[in-house]
Amino acid sequence: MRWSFVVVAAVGLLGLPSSGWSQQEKQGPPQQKVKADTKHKETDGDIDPAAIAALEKMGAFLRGQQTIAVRVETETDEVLDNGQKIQLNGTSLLSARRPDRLRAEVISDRKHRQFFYDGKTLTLYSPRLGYYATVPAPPRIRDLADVLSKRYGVELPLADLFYWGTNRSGVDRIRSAIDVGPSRIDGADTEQYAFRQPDLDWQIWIERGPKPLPRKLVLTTLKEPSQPQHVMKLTWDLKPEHTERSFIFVPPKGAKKIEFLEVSK
Amino acid sequence: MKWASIFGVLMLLAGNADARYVRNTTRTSINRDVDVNRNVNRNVNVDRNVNRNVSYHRDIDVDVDYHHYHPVARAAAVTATAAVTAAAIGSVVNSLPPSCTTVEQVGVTYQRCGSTWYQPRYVGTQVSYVVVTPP
Repeated sequence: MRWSFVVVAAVGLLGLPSSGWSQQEKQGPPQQKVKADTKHKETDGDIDPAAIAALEKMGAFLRGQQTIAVRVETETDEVLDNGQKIQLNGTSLLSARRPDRLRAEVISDRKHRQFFYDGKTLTLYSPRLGYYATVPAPPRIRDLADVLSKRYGVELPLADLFYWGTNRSGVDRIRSAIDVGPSRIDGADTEQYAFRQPDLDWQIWIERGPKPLPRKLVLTTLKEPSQPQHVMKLTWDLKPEHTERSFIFVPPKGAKKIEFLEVSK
Repeated sequence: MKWASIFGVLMLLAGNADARYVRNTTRTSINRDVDVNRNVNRNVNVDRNVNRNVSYHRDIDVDVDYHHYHPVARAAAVTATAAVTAAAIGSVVNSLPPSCTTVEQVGVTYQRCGSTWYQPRYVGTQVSYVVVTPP
């Protein structure tokens, strides 16, 4: 008892990896891990360049894909006014062809929305309610999220996928970056990284090997005392069969056109 | 009579239960720090059933396409209040009172609920209803 206490204290003082880490070290890339561990304190401003490099490699890979289709299972903590956390589940589907075609679908128990973008207009459709709205859209996917958000208050699902690998990837906001270690996600070998930026902690699991795709993400909101999380698990198809029709909205019978209440001009 | 009034009070309480409102603060994007409250507050007054303006919330009760699996109490409370205060033109509600009729006139879709007319609009991805002058 006494000895184990001393050992634990010594380990703590020396900044040696705890047992969980040494276990992982046997499997993981040794040099990098030792380097991260000798840094010891994971305070703000502690950035592992390898973690940033992994992010950039993933971004470059994503950017290099002309067509993508991804299915995302989501879990979102919503905080009620009394502080209670409720977790809502959903599925998002996204298909895109660079530079100017995108289709997305967000399905939850409570809501179902479809997005159609063809480089000229964006249509938001609610299949259950039968309402759709069409607005002019910028000619590139990468500018779509901004316009939708600023003007219409609409958040494009999975917008991050189109920021990574660009000069707006947000890497400069990262205050801390660590390589957590290997992890298996849905049978895939991934490497887990954890980042801190103002108001947000986030983790990403990037597939190892020739296709460095994000396979899982966890976002932790720090502004909120109960620190709600948004979890995404991603399944990828890099050779989807998109036709021109996939991105065009054809109003189903009975669908009614409505307008947006613009949040700003 | 007595029971009815107690029931009415309970319904109002249920209707005003703020606990069902979500703060909408959970970040879902790394690169986009979106503050829906800030964005929408500037231009949209969401006039809720209790005669006070509240900031725009994504609401568990109303951020839905169907309302039938949610407490009826809330809708009933809305109606009760609406009977007292006429809905102001231009105000925005997140859900409609029961028994509305869809009316289409000159290509514009309305919801007629008693003497009040609404136009469905997207506020973000949510369908809300703006009180309009009867066409």
